[in-house]
Amino acid sequence: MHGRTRTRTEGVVSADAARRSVPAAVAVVAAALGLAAWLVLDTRLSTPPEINGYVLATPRELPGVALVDEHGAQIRPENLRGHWSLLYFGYTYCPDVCPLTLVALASFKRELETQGVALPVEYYLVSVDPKRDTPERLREYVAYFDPELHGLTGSPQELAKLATATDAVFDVPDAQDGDNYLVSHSSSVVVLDPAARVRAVLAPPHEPSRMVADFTAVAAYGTASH
Amino acid sequence: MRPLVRTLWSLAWLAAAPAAADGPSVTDAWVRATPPGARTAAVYMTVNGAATADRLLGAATPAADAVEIHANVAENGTTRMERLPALAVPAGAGVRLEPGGAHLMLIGLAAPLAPGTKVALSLELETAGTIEIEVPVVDARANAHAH
Repeated sequence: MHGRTRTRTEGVVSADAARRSVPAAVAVVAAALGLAAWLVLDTRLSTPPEINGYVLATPRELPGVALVDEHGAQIRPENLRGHWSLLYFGYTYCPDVCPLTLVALASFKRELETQGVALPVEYYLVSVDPKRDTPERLREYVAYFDPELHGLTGSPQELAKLATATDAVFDVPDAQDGDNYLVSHSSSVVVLDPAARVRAVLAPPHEPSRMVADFTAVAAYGTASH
Repeated sequence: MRPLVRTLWSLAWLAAAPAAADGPSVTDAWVRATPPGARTAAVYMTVNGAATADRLLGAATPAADAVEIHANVAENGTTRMERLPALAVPAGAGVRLEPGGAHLMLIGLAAPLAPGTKVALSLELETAGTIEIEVPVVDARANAHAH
């Protein structure tokens, strides 16, 4: 059919073919663009975002740890569901990095509000120093930075389980010289998703606007792919 | 006890003042206001180097039981505060004590440190001797407009 047409007159056939193929070409190009866009988008959503820290390819469930919050109430992983959670391991006798990070978390919280990010987020200082940090002590300490920050602590064994699951580390000296001893701890901030699974770890230095960009990227990735 | 301490402080200041004249100087000193119940606080400052290198050996204050020189050592994603026996004050450049880095840790605070007040601090340098400074207490929270 096509061959026969072509033998008649070149010009007519070309014009005719062009008329027919313009919409076709547009459709093909549009489809290609759509496919490309879909591929790019899909790649972007299925590849963890690049953040200052790292994103877990597969969210990690928390083990069944038993902790207490700043009111002395028992907290288990299921109590952390329904909102994103940012966890920072530290202790209240820490004069430098802990206040610095809690100030950063409080700034982050305000910046999320300013930017109108509607995601529910809760913030926790996980004290790895339960000997000195009672729930009461934690409550007055975290509230100083922001009235909505929370405290968590627990027995050394429970804290160790939580730390292992969240890639955090800490070290409380065995020989505690009275009330003056130093504790080592991670300086990262752990991001739990609304299913209380570990999604990402934000590395220091904790610069609030960078943290907002990183957190929203993690949240978008988490919502799109899992 | 207090007047005696004050007298000793004055004497220490008089003895140290001439020695410190050619030595390092301190600028931008501030101490973090303390959250309720805190027993520790961190002091930050710039120790400007003199013509020759010196070393900060320690410090004392009437506001706390002890003062230690600390550095934050980053190691495998962990921050470990480490007590330093001394802190080098290189000639010229000097050294900065800043949040997340080296600082002086006040241990066993006699009372919470309230913003707007000052803490007397006596720095002991190996060569220059003693430098007496008054360190302003600063509320460095995000909603406070400082540092």
